[in-house]
Amino acid sequence: MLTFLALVLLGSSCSKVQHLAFYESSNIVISQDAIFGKDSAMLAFIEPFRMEMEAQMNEVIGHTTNELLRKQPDGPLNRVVADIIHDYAESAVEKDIDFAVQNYFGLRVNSLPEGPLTLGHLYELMPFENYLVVLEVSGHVVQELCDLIASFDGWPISHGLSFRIKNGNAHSIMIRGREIDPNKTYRIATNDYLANGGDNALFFRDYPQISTGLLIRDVMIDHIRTLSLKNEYLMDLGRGNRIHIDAP
Amino acid sequence: MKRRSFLITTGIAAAYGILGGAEWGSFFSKPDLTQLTLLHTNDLHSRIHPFSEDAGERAGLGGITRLSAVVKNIRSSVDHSLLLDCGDVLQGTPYFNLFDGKLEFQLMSKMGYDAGTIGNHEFDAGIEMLAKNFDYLNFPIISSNYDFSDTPLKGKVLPYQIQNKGGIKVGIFGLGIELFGLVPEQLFGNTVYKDPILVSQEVSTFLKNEANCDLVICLSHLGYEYESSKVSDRVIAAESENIDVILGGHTHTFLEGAVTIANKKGEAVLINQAGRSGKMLGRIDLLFEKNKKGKCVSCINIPIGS
Repeated sequence: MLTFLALVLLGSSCSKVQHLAFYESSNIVISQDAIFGKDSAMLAFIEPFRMEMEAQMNEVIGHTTNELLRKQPDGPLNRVVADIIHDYAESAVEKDIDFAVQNYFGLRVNSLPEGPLTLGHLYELMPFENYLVVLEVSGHVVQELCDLIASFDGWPISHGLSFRIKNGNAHSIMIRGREIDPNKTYRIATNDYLANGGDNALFFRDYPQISTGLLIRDVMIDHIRTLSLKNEYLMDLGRGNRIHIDAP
Repeated sequence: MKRRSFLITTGIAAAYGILGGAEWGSFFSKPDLTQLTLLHTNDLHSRIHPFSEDAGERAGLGGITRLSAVVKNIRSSVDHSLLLDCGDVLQGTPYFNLFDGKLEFQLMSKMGYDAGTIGNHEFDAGIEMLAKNFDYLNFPIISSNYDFSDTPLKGKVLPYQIQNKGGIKVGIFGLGIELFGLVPEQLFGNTVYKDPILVSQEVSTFLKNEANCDLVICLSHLGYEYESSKVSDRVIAAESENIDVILGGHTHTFLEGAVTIANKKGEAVLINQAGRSGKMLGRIDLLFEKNKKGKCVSCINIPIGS
């Protein structure tokens, strides 16, 4: 009898379950004002890594006149980056390049600061090991590319290309001052990420890539160092927006 | 006894109020309640230190070092907690370019993470390097919809895990984003991506109904929401029946706190995401009552759409 009772009690306690009764949620902003202090043990652990990193990355390679902002559909940093890619591709393949294109989220910071630029700034802007490549594609493919750029609300494009966006589609595409010709072949510069179909640029996968052997980040660094040697600053040349969005 | 947060206490009081406190006192002892605090991060992107002074409006924000101090502080003030990560720990500062993730993973191990999942940028130094550097982790990486059996990650990633925290049986599974078209193919190798909706239904049903978990948590790197029909945390929640909480990443979405949306049965699923770069720490405090099946005195129906 006692055993039976014990079993019943045991059984009843086992049949209890955990009910999710209530919740509250408030995410915490990790700001300078946080009153939680520092994790000094962690900082000590990081120190040798930090010293090695800073020894390499704190080198000043050039300067900007103004903060260069990344913006959509178009912005100063977008233009500066795409124009450098364009110019380096041209000298690498020793042929005219109609325009250059770079995916927006290939640029990983919102801006390059005003004043001195370090190697670290460039690594944060372009952390990926992306190579500069050249493709020869038809006007049809350029139209597809511009529609893709429109669907992403605008990517960095160089001088040589401009278009408007209406309801997520590209129109009024101009290439080097002329209306796009669907049957003409255009020579464009981009990174191997897009050329391999990244960010859904799948239409590029069918085309052979003319490689330059240059990392896009290295190209940027080289350009800024070269400017610096001539006492020139990295700046937006103020040629204006290349992508416009039509008013709805 | 550690102090419960203000709202949790109010919540219990409200539940008592609805029932009438007298009834409690006369028949029952205090209800058997357990608080479990979920702390979570996503898209840390190698942000070891707070953003530097020249980083514009982000200057001084975020960073793993500061995050670690905040996590320590909270964990010392609650009874039970889980620290979880939703992917893209790697890529974004030169620390990753120089050390390939060794530093980030070691810091996470020091912080006491309980589990994490895989983001698309984890593959940026290649899957061989990722497999090698996973050895720096002292907590499990969980992914349910990537099949790694023909890759160097074979045997290094769990499809799900069950952890017991304060008597709460917690089932954790993970969902990763489609890699094709997003990550260069040579970097993710022979990883096979499986439909996250089907996989999540299968694994969450197993965790809830067969493994009898009290709480099922999905660690996701699918993204919070898209304008297109692309699968996201909100889609996973709406198509689910056995997920309680989805902690997310990828879209760098800053939410003030968890939101709720209805699952297939009309029950609330909590979804949360904490921005990026350690600029935010996600926090959800859950309260459990141990009682007979179908009986829960302090249960407050969680409103949907809050």
